Amino acid sequence: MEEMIDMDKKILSIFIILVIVVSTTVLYVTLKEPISKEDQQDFALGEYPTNEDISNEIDDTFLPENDEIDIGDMI
Amino acid sequence: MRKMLSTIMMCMLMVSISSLAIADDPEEDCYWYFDEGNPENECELYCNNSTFENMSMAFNSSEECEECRLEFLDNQTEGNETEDPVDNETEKEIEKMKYSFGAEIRLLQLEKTIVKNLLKGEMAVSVLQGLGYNTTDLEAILAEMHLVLEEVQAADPQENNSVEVFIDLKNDSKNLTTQFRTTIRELLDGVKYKEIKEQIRNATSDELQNYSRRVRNLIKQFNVNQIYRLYGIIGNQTSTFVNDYLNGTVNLTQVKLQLMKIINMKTKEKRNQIFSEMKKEKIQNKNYAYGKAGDAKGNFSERHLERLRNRLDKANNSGNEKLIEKIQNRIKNYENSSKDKGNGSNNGNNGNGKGKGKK
Repeated sequence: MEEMIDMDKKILSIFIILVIVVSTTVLYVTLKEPISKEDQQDFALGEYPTNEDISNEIDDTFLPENDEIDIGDMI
Repeated sequence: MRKMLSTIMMCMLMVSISSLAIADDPEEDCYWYFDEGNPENECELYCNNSTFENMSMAFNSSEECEECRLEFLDNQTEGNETEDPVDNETEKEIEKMKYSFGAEIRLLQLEKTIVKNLLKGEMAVSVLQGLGYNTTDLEAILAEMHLVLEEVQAADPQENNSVEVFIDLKNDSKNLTTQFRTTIRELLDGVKYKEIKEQIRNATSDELQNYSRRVRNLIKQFNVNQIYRLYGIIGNQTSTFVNDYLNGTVNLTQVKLQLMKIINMKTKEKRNQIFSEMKKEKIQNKNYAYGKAGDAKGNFSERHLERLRNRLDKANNSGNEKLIEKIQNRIKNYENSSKDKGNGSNNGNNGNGKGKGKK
């Protein structure tokens, strides 16, 4: 009988360790997922352009004064 | 009880394994890459970062990358000069040719770059001559480059075919530059090559500086037109800072900041509308460049052959034996390769897409 109780204790401790491992992994996954989903949403919605978006468009409108054509170096 | 616990444990284990699989980021890739613009650089490993996004070729191993890099270097010879004449960079440059001053700027920029390369090439040749090397081949390449320069100078930016001319002559000058580099590389050992490279690195001349000034002034005119265009989209009256920009009192960065400030003062809806208008214009420019590039590719080979024949006439008049021989050989190679293609036996190696992970 005592042996049985001892065995059950061992199983229980393994079970507890497993619960800890699984909950850590699940927690990691759930914490990680919303961030990437949020990123995707920001990108997909695009309802209002950010300052960076507008700044990029303005940049593309102009030519830098030191702009050059590249045909490679002679040596 | 024991059975139940062991079943639960099994389930937990399976959940744990699958969770770990989900947690593993599949985007965490690394690739080997070499710079097509400077293929003499060694293959480098890039991992998932912003630089990686701009790459055109990626390989799963350093060996694959090295193999492709060497092949790329080998193909940068005369036989490769009929390959795709419009790369991404050129297509981007064409976008601005849609506007007034755009074609003029691009042709003048090309002229300036050829002048710069000629200057460096001539300096390298004179150093080599001083060291007692035979520079006949290099001189013939420079002589042809002079002919290309004359063609660029004769091009009219107002003509409808100015984009086509830009593509053709940029392609020719790029090929001649590569030929020069390959030829000089064969002549010299690594140490001497680096020494001469260092000697001519910062070569400049009054002529070159004059070109830089002219290009800068044209770009300023172009940018002023763009400011007016943006003001039209924003719906504001132009202010004095356009003149300040032309006078050099304010620089382009300050102009951009000023425009940003004006746009930020608008409502969210208006900002959105301005952004959409700018985006629309950009898409139209891309379509324009894509269309022009497609047109230019259409009869590129015929135009190339015609240019070579015209250059042969000029070379005959100049009496430069080496140049005559060089152009004649290229015409012959060109005609043979066209014949091969016509027979459906495409022996040419495209040399730019062997990588498995081509992006």
